[in-house]
Amino acid sequence: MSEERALQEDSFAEYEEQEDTQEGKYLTFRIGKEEYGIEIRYVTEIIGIQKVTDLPDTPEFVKGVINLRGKVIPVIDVRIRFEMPHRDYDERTCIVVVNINGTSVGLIVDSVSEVLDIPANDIEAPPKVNKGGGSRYIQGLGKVGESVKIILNIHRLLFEEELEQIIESLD
Amino acid sequence: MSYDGFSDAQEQRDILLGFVEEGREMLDEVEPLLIELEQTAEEQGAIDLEMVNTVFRLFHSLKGGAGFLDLQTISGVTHEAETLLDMFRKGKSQLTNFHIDLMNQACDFIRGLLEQIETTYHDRGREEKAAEIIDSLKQANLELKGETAVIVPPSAPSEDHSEDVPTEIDSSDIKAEESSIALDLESFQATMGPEIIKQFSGEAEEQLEKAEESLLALEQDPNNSEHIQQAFRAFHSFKGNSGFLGLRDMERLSHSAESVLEQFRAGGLTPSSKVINLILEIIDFLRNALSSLSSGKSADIPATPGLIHLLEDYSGANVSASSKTAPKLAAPTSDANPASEKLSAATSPSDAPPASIPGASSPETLPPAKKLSQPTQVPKRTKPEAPKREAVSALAPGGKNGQSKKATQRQSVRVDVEKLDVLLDLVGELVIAEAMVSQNPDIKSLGLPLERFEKAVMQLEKITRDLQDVATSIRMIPLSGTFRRMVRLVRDLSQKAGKRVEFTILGEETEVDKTVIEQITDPLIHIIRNSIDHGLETPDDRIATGKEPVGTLTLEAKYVGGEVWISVRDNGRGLNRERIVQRAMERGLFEGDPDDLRDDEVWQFVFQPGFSTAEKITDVSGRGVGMDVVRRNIENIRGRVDIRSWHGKGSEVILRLPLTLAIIDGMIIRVGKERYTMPITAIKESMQVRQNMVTETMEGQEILRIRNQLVPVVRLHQLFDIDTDVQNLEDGIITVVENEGRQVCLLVDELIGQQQVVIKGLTGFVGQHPCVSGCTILGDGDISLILDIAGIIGQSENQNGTVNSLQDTILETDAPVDSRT
Repeated sequence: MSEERALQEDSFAEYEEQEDTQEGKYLTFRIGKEEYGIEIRYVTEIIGIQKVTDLPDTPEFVKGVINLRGKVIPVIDVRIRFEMPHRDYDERTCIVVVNINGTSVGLIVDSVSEVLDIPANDIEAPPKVNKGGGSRYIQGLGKVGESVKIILNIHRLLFEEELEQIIESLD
Repeated sequence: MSYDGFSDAQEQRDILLGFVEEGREMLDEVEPLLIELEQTAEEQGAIDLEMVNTVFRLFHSLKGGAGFLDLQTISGVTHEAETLLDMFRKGKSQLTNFHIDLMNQACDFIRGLLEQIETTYHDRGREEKAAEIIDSLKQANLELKGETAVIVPPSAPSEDHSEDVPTEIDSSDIKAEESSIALDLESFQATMGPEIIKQFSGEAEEQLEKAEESLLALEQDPNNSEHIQQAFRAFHSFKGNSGFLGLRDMERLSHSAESVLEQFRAGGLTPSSKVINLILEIIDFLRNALSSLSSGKSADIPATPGLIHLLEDYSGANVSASSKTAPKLAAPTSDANPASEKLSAATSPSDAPPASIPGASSPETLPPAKKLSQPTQVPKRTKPEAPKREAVSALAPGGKNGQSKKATQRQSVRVDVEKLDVLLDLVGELVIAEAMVSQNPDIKSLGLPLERFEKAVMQLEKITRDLQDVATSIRMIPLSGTFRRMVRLVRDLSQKAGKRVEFTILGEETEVDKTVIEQITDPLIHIIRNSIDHGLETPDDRIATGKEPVGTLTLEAKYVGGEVWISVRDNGRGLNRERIVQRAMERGLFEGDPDDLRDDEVWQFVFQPGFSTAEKITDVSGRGVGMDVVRRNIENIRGRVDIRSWHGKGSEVILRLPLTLAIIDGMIIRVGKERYTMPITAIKESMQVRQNMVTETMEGQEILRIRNQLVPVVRLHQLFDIDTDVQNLEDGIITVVENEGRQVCLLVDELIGQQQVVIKGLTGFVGQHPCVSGCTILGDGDISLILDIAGIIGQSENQNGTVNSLQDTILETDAPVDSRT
């Protein structure tokens, strides 16, 4: 029991440490001509595109489910979520598997770029203009050298369906 | 703290934990042996020396380990137990229940200490209790040896504890001990973690169940000291555990119950139904406290003083006198045996008011006035209860049938269910991975002779299959726990309803999946309540209709094919067909000529939500109270409910349950590029159709005529919006599926084959889909969705009013669709 506990403590310490080192790190990926970033602590792995089993009667951006080593996880197509035009999957298409509060979800992106350190004071609040589409998923804009990475709010990206519907019904 | 010091401490802890584990295993081994010893001693008057030796050896190694680790309390207790055992080993003395009890107490105590070591890494703090146990063991020893035995104790290694406690304890000392224990307990309570609580409540639950069962048996058979012992032991361990956790109210209540049982045991008090009822009440209180404890709330029982007071009143015993002390323990040594002998010698018919016996044999002093009140209670109780006796005593362990008891005794390990689920998941993955390897196209494409490879694969396949069987069976637990809980329910209900019921349990050893067990308890309670409230008649009514005044109620479990059937059968009046039909017509559930309805179709009405609740019909026909809930619960675990009824002769409700929830027999079908899995149980038949079988309505709904039935068609490719080449009904395969008597034809492209599939749930993220109940991973790693047939039928009916109305008018056999969607 103590062994276990010690182990847990260990892994907890490790986890905390990871938390520390993960602070300010973002995984960036490309969709269309822009680069997007999500906090690295949500990312569990990146896999190539694989066979997606269609799920009937789900929103269009939910592409279906995949078999991730015996676990069945849903995948969403970020392109469709952003209401961008469809593009065929190719060998650079990736599934970024994220885990939020125990729920694993795969995100289909055009290609994965790199892991970047973006200090908090290089991140600016998203613009106030609302052009619809995916703009409400923006958490901030990160300045990296000359370029700007769009940092996404993963919670909204995955779970904002209800809210979205409410907003629509208000309009 | 230096690093070295830390690692030393760590090492020491590891060793201690290793000892705890070992100690537990030994106790697990000792306890059943002790019970067996007790039985053989009772039945044959002699004991199996081999068994005594085994117990002796186990205690001995426990002592050795404890001594090595400087666990003085444990080694002290084990030493005394060992000495006592030695007496029997040498064949000098007669082993009695009392000795076994003492050793059981010692085991319980050591168990408690082991638990403590797990958190505190020492066994200190309970010396007083230890001394008490050591003392009573010694006492027993002395008695066995006779006066010459005064020499024995000095050899004990850990006498420092017993020195604190004089052999003759006077009450002020006890008080002092009490308070110091209480202090210690409080400090324990502070460290009480959720893990400990979980373990405690798991065990406590079992102990209460055991106590309840024994009390019920005792009520039937007040002369059987075995039942008293059982209940006593259960309360005793309960008290020990709750005391250890500092749950004062629980401890006090169980202590008072224990004291009363102690008096039963010593023959000082007769087990009257009034007292037993009160103790049963107390069990209920303890249960409630337990459940509030597990949900993180306080385990206090505000009614404690009142209950203890009542118990005192009823039993005339001073049960609140604090903890069971050495003198009290010692008293029974001399009295217990003669007393129990007298009790059994006086074997009057057990229903006779037993109050006459204690007067003769009671060695303890009892206020006679209290005793007088008992006989009046007895007849009241025996009337409804007597018929149950046979069944109950068959249930109660330790009866004459020692053989069957041995058979059900098994060693077990407590495992977190989550771990089991992970194991099952892994095994499921292994099955898939195995198929991925053995059917790997790369190997086939090599074009080499594969003889050896195939042999190896076959071996792997076999092992995987065996592993899967074992993993699934781990989750299976016998129904006995659930069934035994019903004994109490039947007793209480029949008493309340003034009916006489003979309750029989059959097949309690039948094993089903743990989840299934969780889901059937409520339905079973519903059904049994219905049977007693409405099915069975009062004795007068029964006599009037020429039946035995005692009704029978049978709860039976058995394997039938791939299912487990649990049936509740009574010989009451049966369901009243006329009234049910009448109610169904009143409620608009049915129109037309009732004579056309088959019986089983009529019984289906009682499953309609709210069909008979709070309406007069329940009083007449019974059934229906919550039957919709019953059916829903059972359907949740993919089971079915069947009703059979014979007018005036009785009725039977059968729960038909799958053996396991993790795996189903599936038919893999193909539509376009997608492969789906259908539960085999839903499929009635599959066929190719000819054009002349098809009728199309104005709305475009296709209807197939299959023999004499007209069944609507659902095109799966349309339902799921899939591209497929198969557009004509004649080109594909028609699969007729059924749910609750409603049928549809599903159009699929191809049947691929039948196989067992491991069910995986879809994650909450994608939500619940009405037509999909889950998914599974096929041999090639692809995912196949499992079709929810009930959902598809409901969906098609909802989307297309035609199907609905068609079914009503064409089939005319079924209750119209309820709100299921």
